[in-house]
Amino acid sequence: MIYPIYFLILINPYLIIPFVLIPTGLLFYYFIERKNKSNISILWGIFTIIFGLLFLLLLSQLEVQTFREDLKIWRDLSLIIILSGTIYSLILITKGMLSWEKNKT
Amino acid sequence: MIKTKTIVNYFFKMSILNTLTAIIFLFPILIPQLAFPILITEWPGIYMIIGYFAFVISAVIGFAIWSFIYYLLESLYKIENINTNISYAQIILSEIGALLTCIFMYWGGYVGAAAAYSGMSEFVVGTIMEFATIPSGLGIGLILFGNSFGIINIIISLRK
Repeated sequence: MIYPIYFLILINPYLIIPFVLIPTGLLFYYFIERKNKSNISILWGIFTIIFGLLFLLLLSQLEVQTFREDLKIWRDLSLIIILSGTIYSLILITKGMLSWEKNKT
Repeated sequence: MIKTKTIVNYFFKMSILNTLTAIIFLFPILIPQLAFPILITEWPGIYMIIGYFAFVISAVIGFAIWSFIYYLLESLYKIENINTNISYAQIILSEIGALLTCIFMYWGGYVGAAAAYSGMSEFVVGTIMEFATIPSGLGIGLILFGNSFGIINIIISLRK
């Protein structure tokens, strides 16, 4: 399981951002969001990222096993899912951090 | 938070709507030109059967059982409110997943069975059916996540 993930990051280096965002988002949820009881949760962003990453991982496995060449549209779809989850999570983290800093001062 | 009764109502209505959809999916069998009784005997025909029963089990029976589970949650444990977002996510993901799985497995199976019946080799039939594999896999994944949301929803509600 580790090797396919490693190769996935090796081929798409920008995927390091959503991979880092998953633990960061969980920490953000545990320390900041849970106390605010917000309706818009970062957990949805993390779910979207995990779903997209899992989809991309399975697609890359399928590509290796079958040598299919028509997977580009599905790979693009999975990258869009990851990108939307990343942007959503980043916006929520930035907003949370800004309001946290305001409350601190 | 949303009332448990409302979610029970939604699941029940969706179950009835999916029963109607399952009946509509059966209509092509009555059209002689489509030759379903012959094509179902070819090996890709099993895809049509699996696709159809996946829809019946997850969308018709599954939604009815989830409606019953939420009803029990209210009557046995007196939980009157549950998480809105998780409940809606469960309904939407399960429904889209069931439809995707059924449509693409049915479609892929029909196209593959027609190709096998016309005498094409297994390799060619497999290549013809390839277009349906990823959407149906995606659908199965969505059903899986939808039902997981239901279980998470129940655990969260019971813990409160």
